[in-house]
Amino acid sequence: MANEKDDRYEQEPMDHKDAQLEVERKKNTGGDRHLTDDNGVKVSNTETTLRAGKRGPLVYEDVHFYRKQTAFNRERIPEKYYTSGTNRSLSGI
Amino acid sequence: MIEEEDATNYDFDILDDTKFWPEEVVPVETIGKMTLNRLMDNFFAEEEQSAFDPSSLVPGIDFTNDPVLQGRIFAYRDTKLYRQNSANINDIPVNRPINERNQNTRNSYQKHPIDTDPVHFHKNSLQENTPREASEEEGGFGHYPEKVEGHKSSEVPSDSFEDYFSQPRMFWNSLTTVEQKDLLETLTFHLQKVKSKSVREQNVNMWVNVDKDMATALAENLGVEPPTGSHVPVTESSEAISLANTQPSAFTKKVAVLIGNDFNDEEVEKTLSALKEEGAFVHIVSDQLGEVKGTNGTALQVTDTFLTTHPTLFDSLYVVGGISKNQQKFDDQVQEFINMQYKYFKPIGIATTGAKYLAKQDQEKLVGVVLAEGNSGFEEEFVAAVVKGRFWERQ
Repeated sequence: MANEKDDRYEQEPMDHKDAQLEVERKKNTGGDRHLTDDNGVKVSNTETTLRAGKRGPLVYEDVHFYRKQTAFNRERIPEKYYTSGTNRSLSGI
Repeated sequence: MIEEEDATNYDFDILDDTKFWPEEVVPVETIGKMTLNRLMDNFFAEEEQSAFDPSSLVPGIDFTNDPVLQGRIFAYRDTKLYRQNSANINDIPVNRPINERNQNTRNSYQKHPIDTDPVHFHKNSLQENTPREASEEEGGFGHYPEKVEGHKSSEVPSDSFEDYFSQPRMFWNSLTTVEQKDLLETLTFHLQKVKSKSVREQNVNMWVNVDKDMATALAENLGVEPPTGSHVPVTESSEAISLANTQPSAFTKKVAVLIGNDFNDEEVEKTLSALKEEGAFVHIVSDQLGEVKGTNGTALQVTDTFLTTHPTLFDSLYVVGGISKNQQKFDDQVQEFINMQYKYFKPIGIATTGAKYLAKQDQEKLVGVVLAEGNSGFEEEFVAAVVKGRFWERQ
């Protein structure tokens, strides 16, 4: 289903910069779009990992899990609050 | 701890880390003690750079096939590789082991040891094949040879992985009425922020599996249709789940002493030492830093001011009151503390000099408010109230 709230794709570019950015804008959801990996190959299962037997350990060749995880592991985390100097209290968050 | 042969004898799958092991079914055993004994000196060096990682194992410990743990074995190290931008994570002092390290790895930035060996590979003849591997008998790490069966598979390990509501229902059954009410408020707080009515409705229809009355009340709070269906037919509960069943104590509770000048020295000193004796942390809160003095000259160092602290940061109040340069403002702040502490069900002790902050007609009927006026057992009563912690009867 189309995201009705997101009408950027139907709008005329506001200015030259916006026209330049418009080329990069991309939708992943809606219509009959399928989930793919970063090579554009359709993914049949993104919910569970591949294991050596149903009750066995994760296997290294589960590249979909591996790549998804490497992207997730590279999220930027804002530095935590802290105080320094004589107070030396524990971090706030 | 569960013996290997009992692994499949429970109605939850021990490989499913979204399930808890009820303490009544698998009793808690103490296997070690970790003591937090100092604060860090440099936040970045010691906290931001510290790398906790479930894959740092010692001999005798190995992984289960819990799929989430299996994923974490990779994820923690990978995250650190990105954040430190180096493979030499364990060269950073906070991560460096106490044990001797002898490795053949030489690369990556932030390499601290300057390895002087003529070779850095295994096997080698030039250094007589050292550093050599240690057998398990010599203390080398070895994996447990657990049996693995079947085909490569992405199927869930067992059907009980898809039982999403039995344990949440058990959790709900185990809560006291106060805790249930609090949980409903928490869900309401989060879901009232959700703009999509459809998502709010879907949530209500998910929570109905846990408790029908709760989900119905939630639906009303969220302005959506009441749920259809009902909760899963689970009647069990676990005593260990409810916080109401933990042993109450005054140990480490924070008590704000709201105080100005001209307090009654003896009375305040007695109360403060009674609190400290039970291990409570006493904060002297006034409108300015410096000292406040009793009528007989006892001086107390102010630790926090009305400006720098907040009533919700304390477990209890001891209202002494007193003289201040800006009396009206001082009194307003004391009143604000009292109102908020009372609202959050917390115990309040009122010294003889603090009685003016409570209207006469209120003094009798307020629950969990201990008055010193004409009360020879004040200290014990107040400490007992601090131990109790919350007075839910106020609801």
